[in-house]
Amino acid sequence: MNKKISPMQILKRYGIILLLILLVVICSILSSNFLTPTNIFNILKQISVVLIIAYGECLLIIAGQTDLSPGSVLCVSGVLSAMAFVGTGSLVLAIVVAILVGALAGVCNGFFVTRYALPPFIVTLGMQITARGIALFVSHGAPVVIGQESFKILGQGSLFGVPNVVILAAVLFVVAWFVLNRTSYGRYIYAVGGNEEAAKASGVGINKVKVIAFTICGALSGVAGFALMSRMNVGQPNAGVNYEFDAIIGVILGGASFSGGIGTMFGAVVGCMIIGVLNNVLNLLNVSPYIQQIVKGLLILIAVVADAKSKGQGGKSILMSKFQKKKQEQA
Amino acid sequence: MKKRLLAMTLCAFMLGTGLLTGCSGSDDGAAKADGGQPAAQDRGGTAEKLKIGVSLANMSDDFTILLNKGVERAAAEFADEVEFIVLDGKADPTMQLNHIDTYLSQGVDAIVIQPTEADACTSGIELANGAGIPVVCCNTKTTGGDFVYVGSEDIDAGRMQGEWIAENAPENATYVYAMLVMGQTGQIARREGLLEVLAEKRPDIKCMAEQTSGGMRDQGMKLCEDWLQAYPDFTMYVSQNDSAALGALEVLGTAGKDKLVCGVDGNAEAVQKVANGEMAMTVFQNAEGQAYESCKTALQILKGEFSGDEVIIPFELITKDNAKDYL
Amino acid sequence: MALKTAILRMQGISKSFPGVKALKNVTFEVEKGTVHALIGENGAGKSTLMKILNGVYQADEGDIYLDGARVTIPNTRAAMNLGLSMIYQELNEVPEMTIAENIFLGREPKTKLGTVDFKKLYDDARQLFASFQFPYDVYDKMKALSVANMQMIEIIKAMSRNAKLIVMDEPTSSITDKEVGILFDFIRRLKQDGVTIIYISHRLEELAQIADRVTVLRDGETIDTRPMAELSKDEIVRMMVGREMTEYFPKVEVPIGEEVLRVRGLRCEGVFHDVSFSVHAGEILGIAGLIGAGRTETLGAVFGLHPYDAGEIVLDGKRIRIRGTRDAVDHGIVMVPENRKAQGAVLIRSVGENITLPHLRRYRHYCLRTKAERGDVQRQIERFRIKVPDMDCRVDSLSGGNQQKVILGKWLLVTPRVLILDEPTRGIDVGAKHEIYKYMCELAAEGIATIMISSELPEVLGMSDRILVMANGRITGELSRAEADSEKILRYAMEGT
Repeated sequence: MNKKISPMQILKRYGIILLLILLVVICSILSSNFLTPTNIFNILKQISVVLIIAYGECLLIIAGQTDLSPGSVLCVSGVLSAMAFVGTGSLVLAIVVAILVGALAGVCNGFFVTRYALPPFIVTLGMQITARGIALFVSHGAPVVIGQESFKILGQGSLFGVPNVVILAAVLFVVAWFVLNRTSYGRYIYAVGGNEEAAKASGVGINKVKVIAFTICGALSGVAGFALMSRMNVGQPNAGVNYEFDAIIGVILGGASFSGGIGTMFGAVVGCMIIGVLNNVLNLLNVSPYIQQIVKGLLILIAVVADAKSKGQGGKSILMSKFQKKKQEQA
Repeated sequence: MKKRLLAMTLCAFMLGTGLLTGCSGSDDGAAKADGGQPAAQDRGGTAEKLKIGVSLANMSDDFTILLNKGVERAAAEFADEVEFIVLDGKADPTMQLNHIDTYLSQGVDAIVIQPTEADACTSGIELANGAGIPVVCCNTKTTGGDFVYVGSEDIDAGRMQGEWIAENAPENATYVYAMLVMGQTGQIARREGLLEVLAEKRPDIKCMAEQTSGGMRDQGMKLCEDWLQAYPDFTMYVSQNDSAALGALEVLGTAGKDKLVCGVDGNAEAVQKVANGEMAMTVFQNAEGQAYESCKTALQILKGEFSGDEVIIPFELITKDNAKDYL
Repeated sequence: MALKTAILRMQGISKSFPGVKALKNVTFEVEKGTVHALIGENGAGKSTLMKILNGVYQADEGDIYLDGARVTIPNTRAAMNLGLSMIYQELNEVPEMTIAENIFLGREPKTKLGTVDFKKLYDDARQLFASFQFPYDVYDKMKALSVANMQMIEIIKAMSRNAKLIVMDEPTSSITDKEVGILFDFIRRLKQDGVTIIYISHRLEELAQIADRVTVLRDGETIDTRPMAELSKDEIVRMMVGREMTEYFPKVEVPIGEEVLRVRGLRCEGVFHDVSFSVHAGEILGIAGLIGAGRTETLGAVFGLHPYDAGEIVLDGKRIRIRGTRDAVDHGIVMVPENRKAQGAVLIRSVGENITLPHLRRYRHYCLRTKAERGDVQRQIERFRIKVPDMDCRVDSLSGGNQQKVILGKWLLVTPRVLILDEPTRGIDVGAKHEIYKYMCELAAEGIATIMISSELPEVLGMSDRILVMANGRITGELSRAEADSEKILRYAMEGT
């Protein structure tokens, strides 16, 4: 076998990044304001919160799981973090609270999914509603107003012209990439998602792997919550609605498969960037809000097609192959 | 296994919703938000008390929470005559339809409803009409059915923003416009009011872009960032609510840009910023007053003291001059 | 030498795929009303040839004649219209639907109103059942049937479309011997009705029972077509692999050492009861029995895959606790599972990742993909002669035999104390089977205690030093290599059934 790669394989492997490049080229032709440093940082700033969630979702989706609660968990940890800050004035405590609350929510998700063998979809949907409820309850539904400037450092500050949230998202990317690609835990994630039974029969403690993945996703949601509230400079109990969907769509666009075992951190980032670039350019061009909605809907369809494609690469999806066979037979 | 799963889902759901509604019912014993049953001590009291059922649109929304405060005030004031029952519609018109069914079977004397949607809630109103129970629509009108409307006219909020801009904006000013969720009554009417006044008084003012912020602070920020990029010279950021306007203020603050920012709602943070001079203006919608008046009107109808078909609670303009009165 | 009554003649068929010439000038002829076996090692071109017949692929060269007339088969629909039908190894039934609904799936009879005419559907199905003497109720759910019966339903379905020629791909790979008998009776009846069957199988014993003629393919070429009765098993194997196999089972006697593993009174309510046995270093312990006898579950319990209620597991004289597969692996007990696709390997991940998956603790935990890891993988690939372009290619791109070798490579990266093999050669071609037997002997010589669960009697007889027979979750007999024969094993296996 020669190791030459055909153009088709290049397209399959790098299709998503080519799509991003194409999008950037088109956008810079359409809008002269697009390819400016400020705007690029704007986009990165705008997607960084979703990105942080996407790292967690990426781990979970590769492990064959999914989490619908980050948007709400982000909110409850952000609100509690804001309250802690208002109460004590300690930024460190605020961050610790955000991470701990998020991780706790993640542990709960993981516990129910593994202990009672429940579908993650249902469990995390329950968490989504519960977490949102707690956020509203503790804040009495009203925004937690922050008096001091220091709370904004992460969300609105910048270092050498680079927004701090972007730096945070980049640092977390490196960590997440490393965990997924260079640690045995990362291998277990791929193995559990690729074939849970085989992973179990290879001595992998699948429940432990899953609980840790949910916990990481929860903790990252907590970090995202702090970042968002810091950016908005308020503890807003209705913030972050549907952030998990943007993250999931980004991860799937980036080549991960809902059936697990396939996906990369890099792909997830590129997928989220595509969403961010689209959102930004539609605003720059002042496209009608109605059409924006249509474009976003189409994007979801593309993500689903990408999902089906990633499964089709040699790894036969049981459903698809059955369907094809049935078609052959009926024909 | 399936049963267990169902039970789990239900538990999670109930826990979530229980917490949502818990926040509003906790302050006052008279307004009950948890299950529609009046408190035990009330039931033991005089049996001839009137009963008024209240159905609120969405108890997790800031605005509805303010409305509930008005209901609580009315409940405390008229505690001798009336017993109020409050249910949360959770932004779902079907839920409100169920509320009305429940109220009719409980034999309430009047219904106060804050409709989640103008069209979808009409059938509920008609149901109550059929049973001969008077209905008060609070804050939003339904498209059909017989009811007394108590609330403000959204178009007035838009007009008020327009009037202020007409007087204060410089020559050939430009603005960007952040709207509520597309298709909502508030979004349509506020926009209409604003455009109507500007077209009449200041045709020189130009709208650069209009998008929806969904009323959310983070979306308001995103829009402001993108617009600063596309239209760096705009004069005003006009928002249909305060949350998005406050988001824009954060962005403008970081970017060091000075623009006129206009909102609607008059929430505490916004009023504070108007008083500081950071924000140009906002329009106060007296939610608490709307709800209080709705309850009072319902009682007056029952006593035969009310005639007419609407009570308008006016919007109030808040600027630097009068902001401290609202703090 | 064209047969006079040939129903099918494929003449001079060639087919290339990028980089591979899959078929080279193949001629294949089938006589009407016979069972014609098509055999060859994996990759010999059997399935390509059958896919061309079925319209899935188009031949680059060559002609197809059906009943003497030249035909073109552009797609599967055309194949079906010509009376050709293919029954795949993996069945696709809708388990929750009734048998009759499954038979007419996608072509249900309609009433005038356009709704499904259930009366006609069930009447037709009943008629079909009667004509094939199929002893089930048409209203039964599909899931009530065994795999063999589902195969028969597939055939009935094909017959209801007036199939003249049915291709069966490994129909017996997942059914018990008793069911094989039922299936074969059914095939014989079809034959009497003039239906022609092309039968693809790796199980040479079966061919002797059912096939009339046999065609051997090797490396995309027809080696020969001969009447089955003329051929011995050895001859067939020779034709398939192109080399003389001195011995079908390369069993090497090695000295049996100390006792390594002892299991006492292992019990799981309703699954297996009071199972006790031991295995020694260098020994290959065969475990025979019918499907459903509880063999996989019992050994699964030793490996931590299956729960157990009572009993003890003793390794090297010390009692150990197995609460999960991790415990077993840490103690050096490993298991190559029966179902490669479901449990054996993470098919969508790479060969390398699969091989080191249980052993990642050997490497620097927080910096993988080191030279050490890749070196280990390369060594296993070479040791087991796994045919892969590189270690990063996905396991599902390999043939069944190579997949099995990947799994062996995984478990033998670190020398285990006890190696449990569950149906190690199922669905693997003859050449790869032979290789796996050779490795088993090598490993035994290294002093590994091997336990082999197998449903293939010749394999059990040929490879084991000692044989345990299980039935209904209990051990019903133990035989030494010298005293064991098929008859004794079957007698124990049927005990209490």
